[in-house]
Amino acid sequence: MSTRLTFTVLLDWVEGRLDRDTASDVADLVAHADAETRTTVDWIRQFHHDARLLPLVAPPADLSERLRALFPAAVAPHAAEGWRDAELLYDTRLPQAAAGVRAGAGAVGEVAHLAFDCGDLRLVLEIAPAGSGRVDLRGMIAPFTAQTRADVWLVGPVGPVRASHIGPSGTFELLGVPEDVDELRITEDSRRVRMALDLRLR
Amino acid sequence: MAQPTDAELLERCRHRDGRAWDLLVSRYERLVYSVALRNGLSAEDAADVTQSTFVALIDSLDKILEEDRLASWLMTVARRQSWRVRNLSRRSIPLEHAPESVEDPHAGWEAVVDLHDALAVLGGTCRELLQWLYLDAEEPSYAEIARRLDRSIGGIGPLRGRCLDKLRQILVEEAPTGAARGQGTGR
Repeated sequence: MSTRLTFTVLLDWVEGRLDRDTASDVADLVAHADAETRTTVDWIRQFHHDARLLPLVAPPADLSERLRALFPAAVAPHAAEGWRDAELLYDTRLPQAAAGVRAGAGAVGEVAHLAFDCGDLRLVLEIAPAGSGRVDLRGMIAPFTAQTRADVWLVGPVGPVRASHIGPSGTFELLGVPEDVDELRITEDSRRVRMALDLRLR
Repeated sequence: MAQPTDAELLERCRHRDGRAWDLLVSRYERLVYSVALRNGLSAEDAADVTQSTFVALIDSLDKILEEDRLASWLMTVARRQSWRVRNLSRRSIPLEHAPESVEDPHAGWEAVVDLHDALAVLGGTCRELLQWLYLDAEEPSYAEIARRLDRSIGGIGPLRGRCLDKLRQILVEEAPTGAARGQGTGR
């Protein structure tokens, strides 16, 4: 064996991939090796340590699918046709809970409840303060009839900002949503419903 | 065919190339998701953070200046989003459901960031091979990796040596004086 150990031989030795005799020879050579060889061995060991700090875990398949769907939705948010607009039924921030009227009647920090309807689908939504210009949203759609998948999308001034799967009971939760989100969209199988939102709790 | 660099994919995304977006997601979804998990989030919260991180990438396509450091950009965004979600969750998680301990998400953070930036520079088959061999939580076998790369199993060992040596050169070249020799793998 050459006294000049290659990187791959050192790697095999550090990783225990050499047979006993060869490993013993390499160990002797490393023990008396020059500084460069010892530095290489140290680097390999440090690499193994660093690589173990963050094992890469594959995300669930449905998340991968949603990540890929983000882009076409963002660059062409109005490309998908067939959106129906839901109407505001009530908003506890409004003095008369008058549909379609925005007002800042509630006290700062209060939870607001809203309801929307588009004929064959109703959404109830809770808006709770989360601090720093953000709110927590908890909602439920009814009737929930999705056979394949259902998602809720939040759209802000620059496009979709968040999306979440709607659970089997028709409920969803989105935490820490920016207050400048101004539209909520629901996709449930082929059904597409959208509604204007005002998330500001005043 | 050579795999496109991150900079090339970002440029194609700016021109609304959905295929380029799919490649970026394939390249980085595990990294972003893993950063969220590392920060103590549940699988559900980690999914939310992963999603919002990629949304932030879409929003920032025209603003990213260091295109060869996309990995560290995504890791930083994911870590910040994870902190925010953790802080929100702490308000509502019943004490009996709170984890007893969370692995220190800061430990070795800079080394991990440097490692992933260097892997991005390395690119191609070498990047995939090293990720599968040393970073993949599922620890695929040599046989499985050979199948994925469409190579003979006997060639995997020597190839990993050449690839890791290239990665070392990238990390050492970019390391500041003093850190390059024996004090961590990177910058």
